[in-house]
Amino acid sequence: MSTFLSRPGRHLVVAFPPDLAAVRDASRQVRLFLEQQGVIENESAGWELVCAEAGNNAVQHVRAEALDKKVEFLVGVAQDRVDLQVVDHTAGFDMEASPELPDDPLAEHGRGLFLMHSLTDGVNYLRGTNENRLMLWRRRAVQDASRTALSGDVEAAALESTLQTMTEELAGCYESLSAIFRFTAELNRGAQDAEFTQRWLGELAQVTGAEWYVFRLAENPMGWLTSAACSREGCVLAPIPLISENRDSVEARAAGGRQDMWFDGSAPLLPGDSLATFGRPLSGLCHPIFVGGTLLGTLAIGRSTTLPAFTAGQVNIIHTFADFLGIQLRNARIQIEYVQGQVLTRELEIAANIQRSLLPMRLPEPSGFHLAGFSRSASKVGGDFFDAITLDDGSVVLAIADVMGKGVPAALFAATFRSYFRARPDLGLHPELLLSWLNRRLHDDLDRVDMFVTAQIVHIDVVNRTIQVAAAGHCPLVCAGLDGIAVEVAPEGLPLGIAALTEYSCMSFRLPPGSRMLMLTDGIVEARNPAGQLLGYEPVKDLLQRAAAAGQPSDSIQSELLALVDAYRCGLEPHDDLTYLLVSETVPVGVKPA
Amino acid sequence: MKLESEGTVLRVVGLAELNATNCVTVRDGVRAALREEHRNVELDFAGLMFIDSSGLGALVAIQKTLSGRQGFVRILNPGSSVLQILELTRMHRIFEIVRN
Repeated sequence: MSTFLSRPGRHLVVAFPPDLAAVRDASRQVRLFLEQQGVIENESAGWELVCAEAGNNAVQHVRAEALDKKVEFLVGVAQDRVDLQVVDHTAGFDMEASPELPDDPLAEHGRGLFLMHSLTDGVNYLRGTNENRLMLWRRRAVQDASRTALSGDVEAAALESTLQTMTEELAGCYESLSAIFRFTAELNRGAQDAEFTQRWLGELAQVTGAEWYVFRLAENPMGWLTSAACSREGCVLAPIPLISENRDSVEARAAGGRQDMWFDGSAPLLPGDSLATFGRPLSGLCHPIFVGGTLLGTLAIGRSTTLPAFTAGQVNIIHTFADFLGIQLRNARIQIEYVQGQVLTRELEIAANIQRSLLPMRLPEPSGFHLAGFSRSASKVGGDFFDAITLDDGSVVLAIADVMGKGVPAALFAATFRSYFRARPDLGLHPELLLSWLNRRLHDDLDRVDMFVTAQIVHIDVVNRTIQVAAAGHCPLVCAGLDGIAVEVAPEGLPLGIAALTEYSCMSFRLPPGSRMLMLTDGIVEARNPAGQLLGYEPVKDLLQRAAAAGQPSDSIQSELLALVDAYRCGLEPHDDLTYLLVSETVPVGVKPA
Repeated sequence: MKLESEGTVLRVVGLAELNATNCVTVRDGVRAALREEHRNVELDFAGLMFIDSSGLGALVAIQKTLSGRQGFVRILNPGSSVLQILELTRMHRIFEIVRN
């Protein structure tokens, strides 16, 4: 102690019992003494903390046999430096040359030595038999004698330091707010996402002094992080999988852990991290951006240094900018989806109008027969279609078709089918030839988009009461007569669009007296009940048998048919379009047709 | 020290120091005051004049208590010298720090 006190300058010795409260009092005394000697506030506060850390260690680890001995603070203030010696009676410890913070950021202990080293310029530790001596020193910031003599100047220096910190923070807040207002106005003027993001992050880098950044978007919550903006022009980094085992990428870890991940000299990036493209050393953080609890992306930002990159104020600015960017991008996506939805709805309305216009306004009225047709789409635009034309000889040709799929593409193929069907009435006498011709015309277009059409064409010779049926993969028609027998008629044939050179066959038969014939699409017989069972043909055949036997008019048959299907579904939404063409003989029961 | 409850936030106000002499009292006091609805703890450091490594340990302990509730510690209005210690020990990477 005598050696220490013989040094030039003014001195203070504080001795106190090994008690935490006494440490606190002694630390305050040291600070007061230093301030009285003209040491600036910031440095005095630092020494107060150093005393507290050293004193706490001395108290918490004091040897049992030394509980009656006092801990001592010896303080010396020279013109250019402050010295402190702490005398303790612990078992001592091995002092590291450069203590680091704990590896685990959530460790509750282990920061004291780091603080003492960080707040001083030199540390020595001498272990003795009965006592140990911790020696610390630090250069003084204000060395000019004339200035130290003037306490007003010292206070002014401290005040200047505080003001500078406050100014920096205020400037950060101001720049954040002004950037937010300016960029919001830009977005409202329709700036593109990519351009907006790049300029926004450039602004952030300028405000925080960052040297580089990488912004990634999450393709979906469990998918990939893809590069969306980068400070290096033209740089596109490879996508990063968002899987929990991905430990190489600090961005994936930030996204998975839902918290900021920091990296610097003490916690460097792992060797496989894609951010290493910015060179080494690197220091910064990666902030995961969540909007409404959903991961939108990540922002990695930093500097080319080993030192910790950002202050608390700068971290707040980074969070504000990143989270604002996330909200803006999410809003932009919602707006685009809304507009696209509006456009799609309008397109579907147009397509539905087109489809409705394809169905015949009036069906032919062949002598002795009544034709009725109906079509109901499961979605806004369906793929079912029917048509009927009268030939020059008074016979009629009926067509019913089902385009695989729904929506606009199905409606377009239905329109094309109708045009071709009406283009060759001369082939109407031979339904199998008409189907072959339709298949050749439609095949390439259907094949290109992996679609196909099932169809059925019926020619009715109303004079001879004969019909000819050809089908392209279509469900059977049902025919019943006065005799109470209902039959399914199903010629074989591939759907249109499967094979270009398909030949179709034809079935011919005489219509039974009082016949009722139903051409239909699978939306009727494949209607499902809540148990998932199909309606099938039998209920339809029963209905038609009864109708034919009773000479039921087509209006009531149609009502019963729709009621049958709807009742079977028990209120379930239809999963397929429903279409039919009903042919009813109008000759009164008991009168022999001509 | 005074504890105030506001919705999901438990707020600690009136701390003059957070050091080795009172860190256990503060830590245990906050833990005891946490109710089911509290997710986050805000510590108003406007009047805090001194913090040491034991005080930092208490903050970390509170944060660990909250992590089970998906909550966090927010530090309000630290003075320059306290902020300097928080940044020096990289506490600003763990806690949200807000200065008005």
